[in-house]
Amino acid sequence: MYIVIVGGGKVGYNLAKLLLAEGHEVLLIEKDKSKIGPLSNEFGESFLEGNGSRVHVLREGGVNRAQVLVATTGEDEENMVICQIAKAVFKCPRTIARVNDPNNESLFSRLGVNATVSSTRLIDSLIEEQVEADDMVIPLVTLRSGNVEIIEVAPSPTSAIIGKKIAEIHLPEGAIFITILRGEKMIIPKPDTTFMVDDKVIALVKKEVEQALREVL
Amino acid sequence: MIRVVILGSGRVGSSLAGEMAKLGHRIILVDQDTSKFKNLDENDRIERLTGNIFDDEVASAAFSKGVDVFIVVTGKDNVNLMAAQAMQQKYKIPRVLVRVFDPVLSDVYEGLGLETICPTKYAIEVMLKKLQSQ
Repeated sequence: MYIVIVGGGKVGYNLAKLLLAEGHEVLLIEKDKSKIGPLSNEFGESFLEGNGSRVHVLREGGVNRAQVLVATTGEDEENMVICQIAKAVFKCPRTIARVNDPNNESLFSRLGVNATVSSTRLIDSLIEEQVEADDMVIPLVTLRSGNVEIIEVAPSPTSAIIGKKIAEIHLPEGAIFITILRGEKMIIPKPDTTFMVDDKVIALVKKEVEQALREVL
Repeated sequence: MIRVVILGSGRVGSSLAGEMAKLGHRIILVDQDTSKFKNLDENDRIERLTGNIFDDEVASAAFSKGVDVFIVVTGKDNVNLMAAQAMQQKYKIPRVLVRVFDPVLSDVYEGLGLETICPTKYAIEVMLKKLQSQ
């Protein structure tokens, strides 16, 4: 896969190393003069000096043929503009932005950024998982140490759990609700929390019971 | 009378606030930096608001009373583009004007439906005209 990473700070640097080690074609873009020397020495052909929120730099970086663009700079507004250019000008199929201020997360997704995350490992798993935004179940994270995933599930409006309290739902062994997303709100589930239409669930689940959980919801 | 929120009280922001106040409009001028307001003429139609527009409290103070036009003129293109889109979405502002120095970026966002103004383009046009008229 060809992946372009903008921002050569801690996140971008480590992500680039990780993805190169996994055998991907990677280009790392950084504008900061003080970082250019070391990055260029280490990454050679896989490094490009320039401001990633400029159209001509992304063109030079070949974003038009990239499957994924990841914006990892420390500035949210820069990450947003980079992802929007990649989509609008270069038709990049997937854009992932690091979000420094959690308040901006919902804005980014409304503005068309495919995914937002805050650490190297998370970004890496997002790229590897090939998240499809339209899927009913989105594996947000596969925890590498174990056979456990964090998934997002959108129960259908006719699901049997609508109107039920958490305490009344029989979850399969090895699955637990982390949070319920209701519109913009994040609800910490308690035994008496009642499910409503359009609620989404973030759950921690063992891979082997994912299907069973899906059936309950 | 229209209600205007201007983000960025540099040369353009403060002068525009002054001119629009003279025309009888009501202005809220927002900037993170208090020292920026010093260029501003005293005028009871201009309200000064100090803070970061991405803080909910500041944004709500600027927009919750209703606004007809949001003018975005901080010194940074990326900040302008994010502020314009974020506030337009959140507060359903009827009209948003955003300054973008980079002509290419300005065209890209014009294509995405934003009303952008690119001073670089104007400067080039005017200079070319002047040179040609000699």
